[in-house]
Amino acid sequence: MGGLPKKAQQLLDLREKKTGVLALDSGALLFKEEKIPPEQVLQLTATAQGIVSAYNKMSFAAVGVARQDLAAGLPFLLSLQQKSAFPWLSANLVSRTQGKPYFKPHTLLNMAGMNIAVVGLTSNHGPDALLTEKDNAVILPWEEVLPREIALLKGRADLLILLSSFPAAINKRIAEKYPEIHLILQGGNIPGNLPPKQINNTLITQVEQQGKFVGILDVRWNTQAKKWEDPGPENLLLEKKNELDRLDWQIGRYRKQGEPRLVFKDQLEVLAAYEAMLGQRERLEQELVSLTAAQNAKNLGQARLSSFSNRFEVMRKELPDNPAVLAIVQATTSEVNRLGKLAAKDRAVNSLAQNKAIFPDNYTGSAACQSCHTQQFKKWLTTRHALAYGTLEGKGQQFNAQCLPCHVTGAFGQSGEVVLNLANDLRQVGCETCHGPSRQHALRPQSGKPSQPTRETCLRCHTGDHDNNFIFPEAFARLGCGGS
Amino acid sequence: MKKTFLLFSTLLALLTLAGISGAAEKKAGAINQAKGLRELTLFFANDVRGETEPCG
Repeated sequence: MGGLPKKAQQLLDLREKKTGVLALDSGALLFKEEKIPPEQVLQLTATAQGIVSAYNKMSFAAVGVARQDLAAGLPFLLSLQQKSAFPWLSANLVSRTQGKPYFKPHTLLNMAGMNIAVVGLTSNHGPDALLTEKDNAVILPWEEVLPREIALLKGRADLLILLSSFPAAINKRIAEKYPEIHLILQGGNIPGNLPPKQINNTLITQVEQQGKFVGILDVRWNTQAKKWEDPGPENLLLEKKNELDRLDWQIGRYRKQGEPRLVFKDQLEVLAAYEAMLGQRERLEQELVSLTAAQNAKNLGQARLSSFSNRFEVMRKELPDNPAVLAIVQATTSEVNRLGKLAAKDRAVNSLAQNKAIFPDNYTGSAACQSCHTQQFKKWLTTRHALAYGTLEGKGQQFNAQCLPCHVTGAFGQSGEVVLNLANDLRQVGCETCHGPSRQHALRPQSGKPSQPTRETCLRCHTGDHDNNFIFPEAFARLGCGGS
Repeated sequence: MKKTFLLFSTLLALLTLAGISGAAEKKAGAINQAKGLRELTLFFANDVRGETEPCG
């Protein structure tokens, strides 16, 4: 992870190559959820401040206010706005009594020889509890604010961009109703990258939510016509290119340990999946050849209306880090860990945490499994699961309550208090992470067998943002805990 | 001596080529501007929360 310094360096490189580079974010920048547990407020707000410092360094032009950005409360975001070098935009988060927006509804920029307007919309789809009575705030429906914003900006802007955290279906309706909006950058929780789709005269696009990618959209904009050319087969071509990129990524994953036909020769299921991918890749390549030919023929015969080309850049590990943003990230993670350490210390003195060795629910720790399952225990000791807590210690993140659940045993669904005070025997990804809490089984082995892990068990941690293209059968076989 | 000259010449050629390529890119931009076409690059992100949490 640590994608921000890489993102910053990529943006800097782009700005060195080109003039007129506009950096925008449609929101959900600060927090993952709309509510954060009270015991994590200090750590998560410290992280949010670090993110804003990094965005200041990267000279972002505007960021939309999404619902998740309000998770630490409206007053927190308003105070953070004071420290932001970029405007936070929301045309529809307004004062309940006066109707006045709490953030700038739009910003006007002059770049690349044209006037660009950027409007922000906050989704009102979700629980009402997001805003408190004390906030005196309401999120208005988009229908109530967009007509006014468009009327105001239509004559002043050559290009109108909307940063929206509304769901995709709503953004589609907005595009259908307002062709005056030329581009919608969509935020929120959809998996995968969404290449630009043209609806009337509006492009809608979205980059994957987990920071694994950035979107780069090169626009050649005709300020007189203000119209996109007919995308024709271009959308399909982009989709196919992205599909090929994803497939190459997955194939690369299989090849990581050597030639898959040799490495997986005894794992027919894994090998079959690999062969299927190779076949799919070949078909895709053929399709791309014919689509590219059609596109080239079209380009030759068409007059120059506005056009675009789009790509999603993977934030690969080997990309260089920007030193200034890396320093901000390191200072932030160090502060987050310091706060976690302080919180753990405070909890240790209160009565509940006097027993420092907490075994939540029915957990017992891996040592209890060792005597009967000796071979499995020995094998487990050689895996990265056995070192998972050490990895956090190595990074100085062992008090980070956000990280801990995937580096210890029995922490899912537990309070920060429990997570930070787990018994030593649970401080690794132990047997019970996969097989479930097993204290009863350890005491009376005949009383019932622990469960077998499923793909879903692993996906709690091996998610796209932590372990892209996790292959369950291959990983399951590699751990080798099968047997008694 | 010969080697140094060769190295120097190669470097000079590379620098010249880079300059020509940059100039060509800017020239293309200027032509497009004259046609009423404006060139803009959007760099956009979504939900970077968590990226400052390198858990390991």
